[in-house]
Amino acid sequence: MIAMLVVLLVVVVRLTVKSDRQTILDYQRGIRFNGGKPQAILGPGCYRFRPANEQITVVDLRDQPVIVERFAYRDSASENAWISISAAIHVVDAHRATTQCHDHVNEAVVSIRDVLRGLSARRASEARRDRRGCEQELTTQMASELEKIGLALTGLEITEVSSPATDRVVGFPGVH
Amino acid sequence: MDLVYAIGGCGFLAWLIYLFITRARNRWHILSEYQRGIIYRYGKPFKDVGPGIHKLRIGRDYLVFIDVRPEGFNRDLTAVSTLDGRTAVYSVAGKIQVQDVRKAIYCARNYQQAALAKTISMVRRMLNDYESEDIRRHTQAVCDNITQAVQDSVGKIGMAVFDFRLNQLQIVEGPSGTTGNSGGASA
Repeated sequence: MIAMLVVLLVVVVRLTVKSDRQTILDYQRGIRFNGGKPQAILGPGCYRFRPANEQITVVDLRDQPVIVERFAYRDSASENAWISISAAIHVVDAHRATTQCHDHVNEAVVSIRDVLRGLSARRASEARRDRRGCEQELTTQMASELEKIGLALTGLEITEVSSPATDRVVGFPGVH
Repeated sequence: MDLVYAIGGCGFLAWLIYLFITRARNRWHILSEYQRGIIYRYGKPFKDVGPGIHKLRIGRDYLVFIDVRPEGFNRDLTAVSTLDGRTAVYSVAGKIQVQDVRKAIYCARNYQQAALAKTISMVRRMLNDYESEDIRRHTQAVCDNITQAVQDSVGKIGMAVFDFRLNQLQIVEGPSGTTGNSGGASA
């Protein structure tokens, strides 16, 4: 009888304080929530938590490639222009990236497109001539936008800039 | 004789207990011949593993594995501006295969996406720097240059591109415009 009671007690205690495990790899970070409130940022390692009131959200810090192709805009000379870029985004602030947006890749694409709209203050021919400078400028602007949601931008590259009519080489067949 | 039976019984019981404990503490994972992985111990890379059966301690070890079989990709009739403002149309196809497991795992969340993004970026970037006349007259040389650049670029992230084909590369006659995938974004 006593043995049965002890077994029952052990089972009840085990069920009440049942813990779960979560492994955080070196390219991830975890956020421990207790009662829905963030408690700590977790680095690489194995962690125990009680699913009854705790939760660990894992955030991947690796790069996510983003490509924006043929983004059309009107440049400062009111000419139709378009630009293509490729870049990679990654999470730098796990807490902010988790709490500020639902899907940070989509949010990043929205921010990137917003910054590209700002190119209307610039001639497409300038962007073409000074591609490196334009890349630097875009990187700076996008980085400040993405920082608000805990992201960072790396390896931005302008892969295509349209050539306005004034830049075209005269003499080519079919080029006006 | 009784002593032998007693020892045998104890041994059997000990073996059962050992089995029970190891089963509770470990799990085994089988990697197929086309899979490679890294075992992480306490969240840090511990060792690279190939095909076979691997014992993982629950709560301590974690296995991340990837498929090293070649994976095909293709992109049909995509437009890009040339240096002189004309529009070139191209199609790309090829296969990607992981060469360096660690580099592939760490390069991006999805290594296949990363390789594809590198390939597309490089093709567009290079075609954007050629004049239409160069593309028209020296199509094969342009394709060879782009193929080499793509292979170098993808090789840096631990993958290889082979059977790469830059098909249907041609200059569109008439005025250039935002034809094709205008304003497209992919992530």
